[in-house]
Amino acid sequence: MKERLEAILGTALDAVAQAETTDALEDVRVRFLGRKGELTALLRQMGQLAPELRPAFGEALNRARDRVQAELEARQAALLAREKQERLRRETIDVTMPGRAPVLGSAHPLTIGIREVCEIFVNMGFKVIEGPEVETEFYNFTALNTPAYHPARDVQDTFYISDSVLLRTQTSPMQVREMERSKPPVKVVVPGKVYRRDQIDATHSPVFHQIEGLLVDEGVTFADLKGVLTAFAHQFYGADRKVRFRPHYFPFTEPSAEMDVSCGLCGGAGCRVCKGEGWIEILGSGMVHPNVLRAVGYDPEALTGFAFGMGLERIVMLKYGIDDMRLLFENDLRFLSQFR
Amino acid sequence: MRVPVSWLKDYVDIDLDVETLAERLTMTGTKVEAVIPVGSSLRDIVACKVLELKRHPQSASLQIAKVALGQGMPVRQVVTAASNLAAGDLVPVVLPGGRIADGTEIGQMEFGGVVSEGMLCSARELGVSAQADGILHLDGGIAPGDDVVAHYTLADTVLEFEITPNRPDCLCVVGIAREVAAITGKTLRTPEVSFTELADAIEGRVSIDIDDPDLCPRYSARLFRLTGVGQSPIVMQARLSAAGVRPINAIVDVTNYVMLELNQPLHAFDFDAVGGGRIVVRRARSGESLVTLDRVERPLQPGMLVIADSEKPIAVAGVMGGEESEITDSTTTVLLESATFNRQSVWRTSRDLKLRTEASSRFEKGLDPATTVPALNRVAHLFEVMGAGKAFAGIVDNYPSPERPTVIRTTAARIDRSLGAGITAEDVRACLVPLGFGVISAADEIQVEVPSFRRDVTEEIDLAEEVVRIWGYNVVEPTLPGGAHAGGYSREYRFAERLRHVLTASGGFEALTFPFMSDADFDRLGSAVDEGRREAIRLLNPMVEDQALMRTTMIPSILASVRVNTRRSARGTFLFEIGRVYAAGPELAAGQQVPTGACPAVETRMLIGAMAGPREAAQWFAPERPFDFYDAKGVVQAIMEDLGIDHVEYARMDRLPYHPGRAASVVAGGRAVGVVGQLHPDVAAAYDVPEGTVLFELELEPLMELATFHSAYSPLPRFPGVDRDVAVVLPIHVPAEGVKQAIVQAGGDLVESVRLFDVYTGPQVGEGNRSLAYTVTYRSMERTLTDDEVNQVHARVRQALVDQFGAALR
Repeated sequence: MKERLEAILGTALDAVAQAETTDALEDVRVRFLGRKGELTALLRQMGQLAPELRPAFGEALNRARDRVQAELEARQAALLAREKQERLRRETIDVTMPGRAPVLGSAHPLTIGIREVCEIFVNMGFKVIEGPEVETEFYNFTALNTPAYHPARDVQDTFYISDSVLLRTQTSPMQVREMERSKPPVKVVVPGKVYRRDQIDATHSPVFHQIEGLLVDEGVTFADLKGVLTAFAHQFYGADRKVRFRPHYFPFTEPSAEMDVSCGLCGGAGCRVCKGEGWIEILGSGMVHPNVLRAVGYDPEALTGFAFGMGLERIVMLKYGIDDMRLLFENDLRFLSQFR
Repeated sequence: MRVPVSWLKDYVDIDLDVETLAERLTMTGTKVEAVIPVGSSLRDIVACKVLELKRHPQSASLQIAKVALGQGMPVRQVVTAASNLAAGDLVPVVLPGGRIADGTEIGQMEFGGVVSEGMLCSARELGVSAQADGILHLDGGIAPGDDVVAHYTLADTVLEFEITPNRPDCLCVVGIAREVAAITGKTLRTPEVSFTELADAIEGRVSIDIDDPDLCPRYSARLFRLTGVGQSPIVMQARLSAAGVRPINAIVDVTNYVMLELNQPLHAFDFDAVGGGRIVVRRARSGESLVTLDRVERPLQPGMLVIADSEKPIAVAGVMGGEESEITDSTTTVLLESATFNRQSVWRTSRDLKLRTEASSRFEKGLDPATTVPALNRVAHLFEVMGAGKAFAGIVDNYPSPERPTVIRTTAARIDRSLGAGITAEDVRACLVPLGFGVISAADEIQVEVPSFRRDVTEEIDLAEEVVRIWGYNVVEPTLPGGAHAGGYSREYRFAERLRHVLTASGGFEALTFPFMSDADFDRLGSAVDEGRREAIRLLNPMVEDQALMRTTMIPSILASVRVNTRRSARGTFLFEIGRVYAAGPELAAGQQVPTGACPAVETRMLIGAMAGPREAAQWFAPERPFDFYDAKGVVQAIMEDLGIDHVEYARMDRLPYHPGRAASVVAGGRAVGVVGQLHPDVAAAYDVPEGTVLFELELEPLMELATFHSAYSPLPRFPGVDRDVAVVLPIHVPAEGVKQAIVQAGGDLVESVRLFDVYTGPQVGEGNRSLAYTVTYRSMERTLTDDEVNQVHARVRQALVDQFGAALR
C-alpha cells in the first residue's frame, strides 16, 4: 500500500505539473482527489491494513493529499494568471483609430462677443435687456435730442417703414424706453440688431449689432463714465492696454467722448491694424443730455447719467482678426466652426 | 475739411510741430483725420525771365527760349511747347535734376538736336491748380533766380479734419485758428479788411427787401466794379487747391477763399442781370422755376426760399445761383451777396431739389449772422490787393431783428456736477475765454456770454463740455460709481442661452442672418396669396428688392445659409438661428400714429433649425446617412427634455412649405408651439437646397411659459423594475404613438416606460403592415413586483392591443 501511495503521489504531482489549462487541471483534481479519485480510493482501502499500521498510513495519505492539493492550487494560480495574460493580449485594439466623437456645434462669433461684453457689465451691476428693432422716429431720433433736419434722419441712411416708423439705426432708443418705464437708478446694457442703409462690403453691412449701455442715478459723473469704461476695456482687451477719451459729438450726450484703446498688435507704435495711429476706436459715450432726461420725465437737476454704445462687428473682427464683415452673415460652416 | 498749415499761420502763431498740433487738436475735439504733405516732391524750381524766343528749327510746335536766372547766373536755353510766352515774361523753370509735383524728375533733354537745360512749368506741374495749358506766369514780386516753391509756399502740410455737425464754426480757417490759439495759448489774428471804396455809392443803386425774415435773418451786399477777371494770385490758387477747391478765376476764387476763411458762403450776381437793381428775398410762388448754374431747369415749390429781382427768381437761396445772372467775361459790375438763411429751410430745399452744394451744406448747419459784413469787407480787401475790382461806397445790410447774445448764468459747482473733475471758477474762465466766450465771475456766480459763432452753446451743459474738452478729458481722474446694484440677464437672454447650449451640444452651428425677405419668398414657400403677405412690414426704401420686407418666417434666410454651405462643400449642414419675425402692430397696420410707450411692430422670438445633407460622413463604425425628419424631431425632443416640458405631442400636419406626409405640429400645453418637418420638394427646389432638408421652428415665448427647468425632484425607485417585450403587426398607417398610449392605458400605474425598439416591414408581416416591437418597463414604487403580477398586467396589455387595433401579436 505504501508503495502504491508513493506511486500515485508521483503520478499526481507529474499530472499537476503537466496540466496546461485550468480545465486539464480540474481533470487532474478529479482523478486524484475527487470522490472517486485515486487517493480517495486509497483511503477507502485503508481498512484492509492492520489496525496498528493504519495511523501511520493515514498520516502519510493525508500528507500526500495536502501536497497534491497545494500543488494544484499553485498550478491553478499560475494557469489563471497565464490565461488572463493571454486574454488581455487577445483583447488589444488599435487605439489610434478615431473615437466616436459626438458632433459639437458652436455659438455664432457675434453671440460670443455679446456674451463676453455683457458678462463684464453684469459683473459691474448692469442688467441685460433687449428692445424692439422696428422703432418710431420719436424713440430713435426725437427723444434722443436729434433735430428734424439732422443728417442721420436722411432716407439715404435710414430704412423707413412709414413717415414715423423706421428700423432703429442704433440701440440708443432703448435708453428712452427703459427710463420711461422704470424709476432710477437705471443701469442697463442692451445688445441688439441695428439697421443702416449701407451697401454690404468688407466693413459695412445694412444689418449689424450694437451694445448700448446706460447708467442714470444721482451724482453720476464723467469721471464715473471713464472709470466704468476703462474697467471694461481692461477686462475685455487686457489690463496692459492704454485707454484714452476723445471729445466727440452725439446729439443725445454731452459731453460726448469716443474711447480708444492702444493697438494690441503694435502696442501703440502704429501698424496696419490701427492704420498707423497706435489707437483703435472702440466706442462712443457721453453724459446723458439733459434734454433726453427731460423727454422721459426725469429731473436733470436731480439725476445725471452716462451712456455708451459700441459696434459689435468691429470688436469681434478685431478680436479674431476677421478681415471681411460679410463672413459674419454668410454662415459658412468652415467659418462658424472656428469659434467656440 | 482740409486746411493748409501755411494758411492757418496767417491767423495764429504755431510753434509746435504739425504732428503734435494734430494730436492736441484731436484730443480737444477737433479731430485731425490725416496730416497730408502737399508739394513735397517739388525740387529745384526757380523763377526765370524770358529773354528771347525762337522757333525750333525742325518742329513748328516747339520754341526755344533763352531765360535768365538772375544776376551772376548763366543764361539757359529751354525748349517749350507752350504758346503763351513772350519776351520779358517771368516764369518757373525746373532745372535738370529737379522734380515737379507728380514726382517726375526732369533731366537735361534734347529736342531735335536742341538741348533743353530744364523745363518751363504749367500751374498743374507745380500743383498750383489743374491748369495744364500754357506756362504759369509768376506774380507777387518774385525775381529771377528766386526759389518758386519757397516764395509761394508750394510745399505745405494740409490738416484734414473731421468736424462734427455741432461745430460749423470750425468749418473755416479762422475757426480752426481760434481752436489752435485757445489750446496753445496764442493770440488769434483776424483777417485784414482794409480797402478804399469808390466814390460811387451802392445806395440808390441797390435795394434789398426781406419778405420772409423767418427764413432769412440777415442779408448784406456790396457792389463791386470789376477791373478785370483774370487769374487769382498763385498763393491763393495754391491754397485753394491744397484745401480741395479748384481755382477758376479771380472772382470765384476770392468768394471761395473767403468762405473757407470765415465760413460765410457768398454769391456773386452780374448786377446788369438783376432786374431793377432789386433783391427780394421771398418764398417761391407756385409755377416759378429757375435755370441754375448747372444748366438744369428746376421747378420751384412754393415755400422754397429764393432770391428774386423785381420780377423773377435769380437764385435758390443758400443753394445755387441762376444761370442768367452768372458772372461772365463781359460782367462789369458784381453784386455780392453775404447772407444768413434758416438752416432747416436750406436743408429742406436742397433735399427736395436733390441739389447739395458747398453753400447749402454750410447753411444747413446754421451760420453766424455776424459774419456777413466782415466777409464782404474781406472780399473788398482782397479784390483791391489783387486789382480785380473796387467796392462801391457803403454796404446794404438788411438785418431786421438783430440777435442778442446768449448769456448763461452758472457756477463752477454746477459745471462740475456732471464732470466730477474738480473744476474751479478759475478753470472755467481759463478754458472759456480763449474760445471767445465772455466770462464775468462774481462771488457765487459765473456769467458767460456766448459768442455769436458758437450757436451750439445754449445751456449750462454745453459750457461743461467746452470746459472739460479744453481742460482735458484725459486729465479727469476715473472713478467708479457708488451704490451696489444687482446686475443680471433678462429672462429672454437666459432662455436663448439655454437653447444655444442644447443646440450646440446636439451639433448645431448658430447662424445670424439679415431679418429681411421678399415677395418672391412667399411664392417660393407656396403660401396662399394673402397669408403672411398682408401683415409683412414693408420698407419704403429697401436697398434691394430681395430685402424689401421684414421677415414673417425664419425659413428663407436660414435656407439661404444652407444653400451657401451645400454649394461650397459636400459636408452636412446643421444650422440654427435664434431671431425674430415681425408683423405690423395695430397702429402701424392702420396707418396711425404709434402711441408713446408702444412698439410699432409685434416682434416674435423664434428658433429655427435646418439640417441638410449627410448627418455624418461615413466612419469606420457607421455608414454615412442623410439627416432626416427624426434627426430634427430628436433635437426638438432634446430641447423639451432640457426645458422640462412634458407631454409634447407631434401631430401630423399637411401644410406648405412642408412635405405633406413628413411634418408635424409640435403641441405642448395644449397649444401649437412649433413645427418639425421635411421641406416640400418643390420648396427645396425653389430655394436650391437638398431635397431632404428638414427644419424645426419653435416659438420662444410659449416655451418660456411652459418650461419647468426641472425645478422639483422625484424620489428614486427603491424596487426593481421588470422588462417585458411585446410586438404587434398593424396596418402601416396606425401611428406608433397611439400604440404606445394604448399600452400605457392598459398597463396603468405599473407602466414606468414604453420604448419602441424595433420597426419592421417586409414579407413576414404582409403587404401594408408593419411590426412594432416595444419594451415595457413595469415597476411599483411600493413593492417588488412578483412574476405573476407582471404576467397579469402584461397579458392585459397584449389583450388591449388585440382588442383596440385588431393587432396580431408576434
